[in-house]
Amino acid sequence: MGTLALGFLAAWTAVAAYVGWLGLQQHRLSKRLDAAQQRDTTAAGSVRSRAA
Amino acid sequence: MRYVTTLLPASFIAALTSVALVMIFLWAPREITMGDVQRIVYLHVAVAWCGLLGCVAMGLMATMYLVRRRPGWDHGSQAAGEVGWLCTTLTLVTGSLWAHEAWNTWWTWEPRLTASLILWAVYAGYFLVRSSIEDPQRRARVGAVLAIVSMADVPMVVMATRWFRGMHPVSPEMDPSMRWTLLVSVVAFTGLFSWLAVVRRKQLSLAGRVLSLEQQSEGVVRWEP
Repeated sequence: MGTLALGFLAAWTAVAAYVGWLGLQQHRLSKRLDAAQQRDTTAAGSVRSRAA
Repeated sequence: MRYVTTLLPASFIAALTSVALVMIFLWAPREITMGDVQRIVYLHVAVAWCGLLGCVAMGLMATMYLVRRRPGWDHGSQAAGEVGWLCTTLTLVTGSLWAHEAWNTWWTWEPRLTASLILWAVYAGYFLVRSSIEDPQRRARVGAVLAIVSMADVPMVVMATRWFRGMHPVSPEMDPSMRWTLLVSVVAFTGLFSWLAVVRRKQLSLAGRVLSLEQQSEGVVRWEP
């Protein structure tokens, strides 16, 4: 029974670790996306003000 | 829309996986010779199937990338490879646990075990090579070629027990309830790992878009898969 539990524990730990890693990547990507969009908006604003 | 594309499949897969687990632990009868440890086979066969499917999906999407040159195919290929590698790792772990109970050894250089280890090493090589190439276009191209070549190991793993004499069981006699449990388990885990691959593929596409946005704001124009 111990071996069976170990097998299933290993499988679910690996899946949970992969899902956790995906979540971490998503979090980092969201932060980078926000920063890039912020820079984009700021740059567009400064171009508009210079044009005006 | 998010409900239909993400939450609905996730809920369905969670329900199916729960049914599979209930069948594995409560419905399938206890095997006479090995006892409860035999139940690990329902997981082992499912992840082994997903590992092989991941390799085939990785190779086919790599072929599509070389034909169409669309970054989405490269993202799909990489995502399938990651999930396939995870499944192959679990195949080796669960197989080793089963072997310890059945053959009294953690590992033996048996044809199917060896072919599975080669598959694991091929996946590892694919990711090592990809991570060592900085140019995104070249990385996608070299990765695609490696992914296609790696498909050659799939028939080796499947046919190893027929082509070479080994100890690994081949289609053992099973009670109908055991067969149903195995089938539901394979379908449930295929759904789970396919969903993970789809989520990862979307994430890789988003990463590509973020990078191109960052490069645009820095005034650099580059191709990114």
